[in-house]
Amino acid sequence: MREYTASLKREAERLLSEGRVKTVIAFGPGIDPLAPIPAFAEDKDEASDLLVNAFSAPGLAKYVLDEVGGVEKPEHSVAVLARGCDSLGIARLIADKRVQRQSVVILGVHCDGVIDRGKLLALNPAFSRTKNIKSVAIGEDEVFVEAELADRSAVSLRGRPEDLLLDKCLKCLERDPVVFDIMLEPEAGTMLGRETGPTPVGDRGGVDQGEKEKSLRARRSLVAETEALSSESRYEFWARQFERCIRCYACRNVCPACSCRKCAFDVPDPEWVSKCTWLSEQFMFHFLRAFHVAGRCVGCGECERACPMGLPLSLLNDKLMKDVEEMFGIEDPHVPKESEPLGFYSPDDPEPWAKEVSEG
Amino acid sequence: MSLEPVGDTSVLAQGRKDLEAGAAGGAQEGRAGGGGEAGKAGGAGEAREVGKAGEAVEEGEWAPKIVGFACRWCSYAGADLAGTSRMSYPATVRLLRVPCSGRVNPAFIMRAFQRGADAVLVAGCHPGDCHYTSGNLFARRRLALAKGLLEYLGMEPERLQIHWISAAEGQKFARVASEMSKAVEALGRNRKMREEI
Repeated sequence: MREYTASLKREAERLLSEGRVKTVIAFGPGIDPLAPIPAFAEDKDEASDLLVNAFSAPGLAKYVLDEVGGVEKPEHSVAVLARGCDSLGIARLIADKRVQRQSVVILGVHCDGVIDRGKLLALNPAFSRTKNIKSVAIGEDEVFVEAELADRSAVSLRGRPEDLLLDKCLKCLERDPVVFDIMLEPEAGTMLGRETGPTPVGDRGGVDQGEKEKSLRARRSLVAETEALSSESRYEFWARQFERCIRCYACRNVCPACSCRKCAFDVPDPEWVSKCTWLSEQFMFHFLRAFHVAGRCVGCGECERACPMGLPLSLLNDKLMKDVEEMFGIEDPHVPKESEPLGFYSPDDPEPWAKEVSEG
Repeated sequence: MSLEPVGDTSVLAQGRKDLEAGAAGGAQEGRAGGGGEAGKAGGAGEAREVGKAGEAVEEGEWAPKIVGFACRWCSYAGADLAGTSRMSYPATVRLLRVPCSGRVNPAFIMRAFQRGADAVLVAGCHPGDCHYTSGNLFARRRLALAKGLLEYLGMEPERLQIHWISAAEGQKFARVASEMSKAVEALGRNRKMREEI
């Protein structure tokens, strides 16, 4: 990911001082320089701490809902930094009418992927013994990290960014925002952002679709591999995955498509899913979670990234996305549209079970 | 009633009582709902072994438990017609009347499997014949995805079946019930996604 911090700060300061937005959502320095955290700037000072770099892993879409969900006053507007995946999530919230388009100013950036902190530190086993990162340098084709061990000796590692991307970035569907107001310029602060005015969802001009095709193929082949297994092996595979689930609901909380005011997993009556974590409940939970976003999943991969147990949740979402595309002929099923696939029907919808039914 | 599409609480409670009395399975085979079965089988590890051992004993008497969701306008009337016309079909299908096949939340299907169903049948009006114009057309989309996902998670395709049965098709209902029963009998008991108490 290229350098956007300077133009991000400049735009943030401008929007805040003009009073156009109440908050700017982007990243700020965390404790660990390899893990910037989401930050919320409400004045010029705070805006000067904002940043975005190749380690900015968390998605920002869901924070927009926290800030403006249900509020329609213009003075409650927010600005938010948006890469492709963030913009898909924001578009989802807008399509679901949880966020008003006019109450969010989207600062778009082009993103070629974010570096996975875990993958990076795994390059040098010595890093497992320290949390004391001293310096980080990101070059065009090299990352260099220096840290200090307990005995004050220094360790370092070098890696190529393209080998260290987050799993979700390897399957990235949109490198450029699908919806934005201002596209930030990567040149280190030489120009202001180019203001285009609000664009409609899905208007991406001449963006190269080659990378997307590659990602789509990767997703499809993972799903196809799973589909090719026998029922027994598939069940065992998922049982092994779900057994590890601790039901922290991070996958739901981070998901821009999971924005119901009242979530089925929270209501005590009817108790769709109990608090137990035995296997049957895990199947119920994961079936429902995936099904509740069926046809609405934007493929941002945040659920999988947020999962502390590393469950392959995209494998579930991608299966549904593939079915939606193949069965109902919906193009780009990850891009939010006016009506969702399960919200309408066609008289000629397929009946995939017809082969099992003997008519007569 | 809150949720519990299969086995309302009283049936489940009865099932648990039966379990305590050591009479799970056989004795209550004829009762509607999944109570008896859900009350059987062990928890994790060694308790599961007990369940398996118990199974061998009652293998001869086992019959599939099929939970059927039938739309009240077509399929439920179709089943009624099968009955009043004295057609015979296996008593393995326990019908639950729903206003429309569109009422069938995929969570109902999961819950049925959780609580001991060996198979689930969803029956509704033929597409185009819905009493509510389009309920079954929405259901068709939803169930197509849900069935795909369920199979993706490892359920055998035969265990969830969707059929369009009109009020005049008593014969079709009887045929579906017996074919499905036969198919599930061949597969045996369902252990997948099932709650073990």
